[in-house]
Amino acid sequence: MQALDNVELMVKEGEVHALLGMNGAGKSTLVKILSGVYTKDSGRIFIDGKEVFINHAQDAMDCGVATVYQHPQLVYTFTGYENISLGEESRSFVINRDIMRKTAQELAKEYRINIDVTKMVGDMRPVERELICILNALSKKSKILILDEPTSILTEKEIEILFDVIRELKTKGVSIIFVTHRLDEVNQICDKITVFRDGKNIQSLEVGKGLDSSYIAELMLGRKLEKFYPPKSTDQPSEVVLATHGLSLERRFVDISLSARKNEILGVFGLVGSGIDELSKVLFGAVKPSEGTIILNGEGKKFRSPNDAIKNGIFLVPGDRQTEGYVGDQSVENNITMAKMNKVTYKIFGLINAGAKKKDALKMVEDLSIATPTVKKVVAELSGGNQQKVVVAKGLYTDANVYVFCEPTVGVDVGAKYSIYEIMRQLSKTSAVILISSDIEEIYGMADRVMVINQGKMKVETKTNEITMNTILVHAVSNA
Amino acid sequence: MSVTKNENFISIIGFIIIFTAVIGFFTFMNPNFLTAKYFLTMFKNVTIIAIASIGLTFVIAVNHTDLSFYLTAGFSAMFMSWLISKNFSVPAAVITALIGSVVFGFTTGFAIGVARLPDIISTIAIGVIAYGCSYLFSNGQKIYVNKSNISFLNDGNILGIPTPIFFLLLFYIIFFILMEKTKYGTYIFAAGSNRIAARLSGINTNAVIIFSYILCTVFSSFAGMISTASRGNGDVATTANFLMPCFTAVFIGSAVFKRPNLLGTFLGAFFVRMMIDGVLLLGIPYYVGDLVTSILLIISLLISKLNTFGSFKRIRLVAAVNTKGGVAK
Amino acid sequence: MNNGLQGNKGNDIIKKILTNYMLLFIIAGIFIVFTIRLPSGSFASVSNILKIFQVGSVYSIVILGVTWVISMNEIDTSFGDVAAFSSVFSAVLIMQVGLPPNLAIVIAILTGSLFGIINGILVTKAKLNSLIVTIAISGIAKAIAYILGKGSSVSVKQDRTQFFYQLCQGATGIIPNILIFGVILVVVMILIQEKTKFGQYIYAIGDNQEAANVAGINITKIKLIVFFISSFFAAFGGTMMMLRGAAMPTIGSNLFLESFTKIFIGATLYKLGKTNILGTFVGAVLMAMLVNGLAKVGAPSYMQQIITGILLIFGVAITSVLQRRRQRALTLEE
Repeated sequence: MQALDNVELMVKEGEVHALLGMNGAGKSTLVKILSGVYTKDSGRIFIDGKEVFINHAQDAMDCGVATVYQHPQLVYTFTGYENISLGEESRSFVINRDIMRKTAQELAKEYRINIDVTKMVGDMRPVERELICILNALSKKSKILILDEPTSILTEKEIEILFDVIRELKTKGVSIIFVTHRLDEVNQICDKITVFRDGKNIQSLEVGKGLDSSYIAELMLGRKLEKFYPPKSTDQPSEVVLATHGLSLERRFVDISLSARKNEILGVFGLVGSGIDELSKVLFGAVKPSEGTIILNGEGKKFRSPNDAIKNGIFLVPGDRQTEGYVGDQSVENNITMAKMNKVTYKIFGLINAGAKKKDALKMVEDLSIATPTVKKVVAELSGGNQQKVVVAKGLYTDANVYVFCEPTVGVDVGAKYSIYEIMRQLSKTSAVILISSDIEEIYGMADRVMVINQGKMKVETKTNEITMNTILVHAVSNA
Repeated sequence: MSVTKNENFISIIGFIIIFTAVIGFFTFMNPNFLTAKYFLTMFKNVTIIAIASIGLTFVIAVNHTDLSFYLTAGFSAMFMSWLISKNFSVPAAVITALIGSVVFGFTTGFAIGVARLPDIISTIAIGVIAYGCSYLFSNGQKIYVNKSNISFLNDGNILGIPTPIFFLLLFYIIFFILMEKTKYGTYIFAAGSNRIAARLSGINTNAVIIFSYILCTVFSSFAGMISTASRGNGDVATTANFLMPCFTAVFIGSAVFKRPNLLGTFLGAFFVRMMIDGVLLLGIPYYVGDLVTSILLIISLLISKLNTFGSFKRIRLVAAVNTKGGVAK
Repeated sequence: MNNGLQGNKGNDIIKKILTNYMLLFIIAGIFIVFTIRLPSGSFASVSNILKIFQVGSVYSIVILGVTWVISMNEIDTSFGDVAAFSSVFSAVLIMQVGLPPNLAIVIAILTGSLFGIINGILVTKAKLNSLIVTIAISGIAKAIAYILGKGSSVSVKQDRTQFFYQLCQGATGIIPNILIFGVILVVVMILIQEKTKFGQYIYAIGDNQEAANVAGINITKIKLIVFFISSFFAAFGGTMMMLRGAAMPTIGSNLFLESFTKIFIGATLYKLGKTNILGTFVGAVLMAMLVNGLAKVGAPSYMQQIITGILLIFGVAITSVLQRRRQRALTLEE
């Protein structure tokens, strides 16, 4: 499957053009091609009517295309103005900070960006860091600015500051490509939108007087749900196994109360950056909540560490497989048995029973049909889907009562995806399963009950068959 | 995960060839080299480096480093000598001094694991303190220990095996099993290669780091004590030259087997000491041995880089394909 | 348009002074303690203070370059043995080859700098870990120093008239030349560090190599130069010690620990956890003051080690905590 297929995009001078789409729709691939991180296979790019060739990051810069990422690459111990002029301080060996500062301040003034450039970037708030990046781009005379999901880590007030700056840039003739999946923002500042889905540009629309959220949601989602998911539960849900009351984490989410039962998958839907990833970590004891309680089988619990959570029968399949899920240079069997090695050790000194370890790992490999020649193979060398299955197998091996899956199918091929869904469904018969995801189809297809988190706040909780996918999405993207 | 995987075949064969070639060269230059008597002497010399490197192997395996172990070792050696000079029995002195070294190891491990201070600076700071403390007992003067008491550590026999060699084999067997055959070994390698994933698998990564640093100081201290026993006096400088041979031993081991491991460390220590002793036997001054050791270290680093390069490339390729799959979905 | 992005300045300045200049307060405190504790004129006298600064500047010169290596987030453990090498090499050139001292010293400094280039190439081109590489290179430098000196120190008959001797051992009035030279050197290097692109890039690389790369900075070139500078100063320091009378191949191990202590204690000064030239100089002066004062008080020499070790670990802990608090808003701790 192609990441991008015959995509057309036209951006006018001084236009704010939004790219909308769900995860994996192709927005970020397009951004990476335009900024020279990826190279296109075919097609052409024109700026001011002239064809340009962007093969490296430097090419993009030379063409006047600059990209501001969510977590910008800045030198945190330098001041704002030093970052703005990094690499281009002066023609000679000697640098003059006064001149650098004044240039930066004038630039900021010219574009009416109200920021203290003498502050150290490490002391700045996220929005200020983004503004520094924008100023850096402007100092290189960039005419096209790509903002890659700039608002997802900002507070409402900060978003307003950013939008003021964008409006000012517009009047100065800077074109802005604004990647987002939040509709309310589009209504506020964009002139035009292009909706992406499955690597294609579906439709471009003038924003004008405002957009109909449910129509856009339909465009983003496209086809009706295919019969891709295993049948939902028909049994009556059991009593609550895991519940939270008023769970909060500073700056991430507030007052989350959820309850998970057997025979029912609880889906928690939220956009990337809405706090769902942090929620999964708090449930697993990896991050301490700032407020609220976790109740397991009717008993209030405080998990000191993931180890503690595992002992209490909770397991998390974490969101970032590569850095959090598996240990890449260890074998499949080690990864599978890692969280519960006591099952394969003799009573004395933690000596490993190599035969039992291999047998248990083999059984897991067979049960989950993990494609690996042997259980000794190093996990980093498996395909994405099989790596994820190894992480799931590690969880199953702990025989937990509560499973939390965070973004379980990102970067997983279709076949493996389906078998992971089947495993979840199977698991829900004997344990409580919580599916935390930013993939709305997945949530809609898998969850029996769904809960939406929008910018760290709980929006709605209902049975999945009592709500439409559009409504879920509207809850997640509209103003919090 | 056995140490001897097929992929390591080439580097192991290569090592054996070099090893034999070096032995052949020294034997050719001086036939005494291969005699049993000389070999035993050399084996005793190997002991000190080999024991001192056990803990360092663990520290490197958890992806940290220690620049202070040889100074802590100096402290413990002085502490033991002082206790003996104050008429403590040898076992009591050894154990008390080892407990002293545990304190240093724990402090280092705590600073790096729990408080997350940078490992290089923290170990230097602890090293400076340990070095200062080793002057506490005699203000830097040598402490003569009654040789007949302590010589057991160097010249005695246990079950017919010379004491140092007995301890060497004992420790290596126990800790090889710990590292390769128990769950704790798995924890150590997991924490070293992906600390976050290890923690999310329920491994107490802080405990793993503290444990490794304690092993590092305890074993280098014990090696320092054997060294003291062989000299007959406690000297603050006894252990000053541990740093390089130990690092070299560990890195030769990782170069051969592609990851830190005790079998490799042992062979590395043996190889390093053999080069030093071989050079001495040829009548070349001892310091030329240092030159050879350092060059060996650089070569083994370059080899281990080449060695891992192949598998790294493969892993990165797979990762790239995976992320692309993610984008395409 | 006031959007509330301007911070509360007054509060920040007080915090800044307290954290950035904490070291100076500690020095002042130690100075006062010694002054009170010791009979007047023995510690807080002009000649003694000059002496403290002289020792401080000698020992800071050796490690000025290493300071930048660490600022760049690499490390150089070979400086001590490079100093030992050039010290012995210059002595051998003078005493055994019979070269004129000035020429011998220049040759020894340049040869010693070669080690830095090797370090730099192994780190930037072969992409090896700088800690291990420099440990290995230091072994080589030390071994060559021993080989050259045949295992012992080489005493040198000094020609008191020549340039380098005057520079290192002579005095202008009551002020030792080396102190003047050291201060000039420190000032020049602070200017380079603060006022040139080169200095700016050292810290950019040290803080975020990827950001430096994106900004088009030639990282390899800067790293090579800094490793070269590091060995250059180490080699210079080595010949300086030879001029005191004898070249000793053992100075490396003595320099190793105390130099790192000076650099890292200095890192708590002024750049919040980043090693820097001024900090290194102040750190060296602090250590010289401790040694001097403790000796006069009659305290055993190990007290100095223990005090500096404890100061160091506290310094590291405080700067680490401050740096972490700064980043916490962005990333969640694991």
